[in-house]
Amino acid sequence: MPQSVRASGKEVLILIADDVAPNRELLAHMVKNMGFESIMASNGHEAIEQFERFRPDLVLMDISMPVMNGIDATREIKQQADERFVPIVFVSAAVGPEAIRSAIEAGGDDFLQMPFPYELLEGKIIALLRISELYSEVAKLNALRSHEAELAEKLLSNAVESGNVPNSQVRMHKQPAETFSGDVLLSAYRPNGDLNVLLGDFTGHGLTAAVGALPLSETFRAMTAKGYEAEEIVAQINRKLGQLLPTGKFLATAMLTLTAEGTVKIWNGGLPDVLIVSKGKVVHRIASSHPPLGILKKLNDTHFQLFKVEPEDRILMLSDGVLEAVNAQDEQYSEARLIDVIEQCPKGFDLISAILSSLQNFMHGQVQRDDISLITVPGWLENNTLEQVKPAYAFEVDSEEEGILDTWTWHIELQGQSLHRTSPVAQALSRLQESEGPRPEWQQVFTVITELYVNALDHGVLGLSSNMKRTPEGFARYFDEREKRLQSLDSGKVSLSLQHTRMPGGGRLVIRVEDSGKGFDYDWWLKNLNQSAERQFSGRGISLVKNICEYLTFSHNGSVVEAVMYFGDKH
Amino acid sequence: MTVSVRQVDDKNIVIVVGEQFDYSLHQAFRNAYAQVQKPGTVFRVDLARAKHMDSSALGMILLLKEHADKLGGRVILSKPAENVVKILTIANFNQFVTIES
Repeated sequence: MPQSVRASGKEVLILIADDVAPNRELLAHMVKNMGFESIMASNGHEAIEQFERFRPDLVLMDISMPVMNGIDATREIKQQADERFVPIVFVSAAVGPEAIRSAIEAGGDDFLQMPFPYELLEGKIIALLRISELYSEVAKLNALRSHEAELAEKLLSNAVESGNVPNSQVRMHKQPAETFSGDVLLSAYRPNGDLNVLLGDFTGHGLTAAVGALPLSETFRAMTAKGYEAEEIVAQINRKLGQLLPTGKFLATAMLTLTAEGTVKIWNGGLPDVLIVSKGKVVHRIASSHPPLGILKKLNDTHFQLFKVEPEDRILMLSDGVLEAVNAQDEQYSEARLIDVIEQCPKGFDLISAILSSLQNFMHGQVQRDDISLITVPGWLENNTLEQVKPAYAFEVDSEEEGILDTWTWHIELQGQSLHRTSPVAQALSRLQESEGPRPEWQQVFTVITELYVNALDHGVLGLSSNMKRTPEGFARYFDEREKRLQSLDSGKVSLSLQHTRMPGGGRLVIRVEDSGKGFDYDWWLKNLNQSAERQFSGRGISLVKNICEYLTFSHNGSVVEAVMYFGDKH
Repeated sequence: MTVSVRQVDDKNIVIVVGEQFDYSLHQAFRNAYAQVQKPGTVFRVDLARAKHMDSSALGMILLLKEHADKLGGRVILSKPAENVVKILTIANFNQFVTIES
């Protein structure tokens, strides 16, 4: 049974265009029999006018008509209908195959040669109306879907990226291949003012790639705010993604920490080389040294490479979508073109804008296949950075990261003569024993605290040089001098903090020692550890501590040192 | 055919991948090994013909490795061309999969 009313509740209206009046009337009669309404036009021009005025659901079109033929009229009507699907059926006397072809090419949906049986026309009209119903249903669903996707994308990127530091400090650009991006760009300050920046690229793109972004950014932000080291953050993201992502999905990642002293440490697992650009030249490249995160249960190597940077230097991080963008000839953009842009970018110009405009010229309207992301970090931190964030080391631990929160902090500060009178090392150890009971690892903790404390006191406060210890005589002289300076000490201070967090089957201990001294060149020290025979009498302390601890970090020119140790089954 | 399988003997299987090693091969690649349940099977992925490889192909290799690990077997990536070596190197797959030139 034909339906005279469409699903939308509107009556079906059919436009009949034919220059021969008896033909029009015959068709109108048939259409009426089917239960549909009709309107008439006697040439192509009229047909267009009627279409504009009445918006019919279907058109029956003659081919040859005066003023404007059916083929031209069809082209115009199809264009006006735009997104809407309005079936056009050509109804014509016998014509050659050429006419049929051009009718279909102009946008016609079907062809009916006169004379024909009533049922044939009826069947075609009903079938085409059914398709047009489906078409509008799909269009409606599609509009709804893309609206929802846009909304979800907004929510997600707000949740993930709204916490980033201002664009004036770190320039970020993200250009997704689809509504959802699998690239994640994160930046945040540590409590001591250091800046952490991370670029992540999840496998693939679109919604399935974007779902990991939330846990990633939460881990990054929570741990950065708590003052964790970049090494620990990367390790924790790896653990979290390992649990969360199905096999075959992973995150290529690069991460850096920039300090107020102008040093930057960088790690790359699976992204294109991170580049340090100085005066228009690439001076360092940090190649991927590790598989992407979420593949291996435990990271083999979270060694960050350390560099000194100048304020006008730029550190460039990018996703492979940049280098693998293709032009019409299917060539890849490649690093060679990127380097060209870097070298030609005039001083003071924004590097990201320069790369983007080169990329746009190269792709020349070709479809973007993968997410494109770029980050530039300058070689300096904004002055107000330190005041914006909490000044001291944040002694809290994220309960979410490590299970139920179970943390205590112990702190002592010694000034002047009390440095001579007491040693805080034993007190620290007894606090640890009292709270956590006996553990075989306390011996190593003792070693670490002793080494760090003595370093702070001898070199930081007393200003003794370890060079003195190079010869056996010097060794003795060193301790004489030490005793003398201690006795007359009336200023200077050393503070020692412990923070212990219980974890399943063990714990994590952060030891922090700060002295009032001028600091030392720790970069040089760390680099030269174990490398020279000269160091045999001195430097053993740091070397030892470095071997025992999971992480050892110096900051504030070396007058603050932090060591992190783990105990128990976890390590 | 973009993925073909050759059974060398009862413990050695060679999976030959076509020019574009990407998500479009997902199903075919999976079919190539999913039925193999013989313990200790060595899966050799012949990459000689692959000109390009994307990150979803890396994911497909990880899935194959998971399958091989379950069987106590292993995965060997063989004869990758320069472009593909570059991608494997950036991802540091040599740290846990054997790559033969």
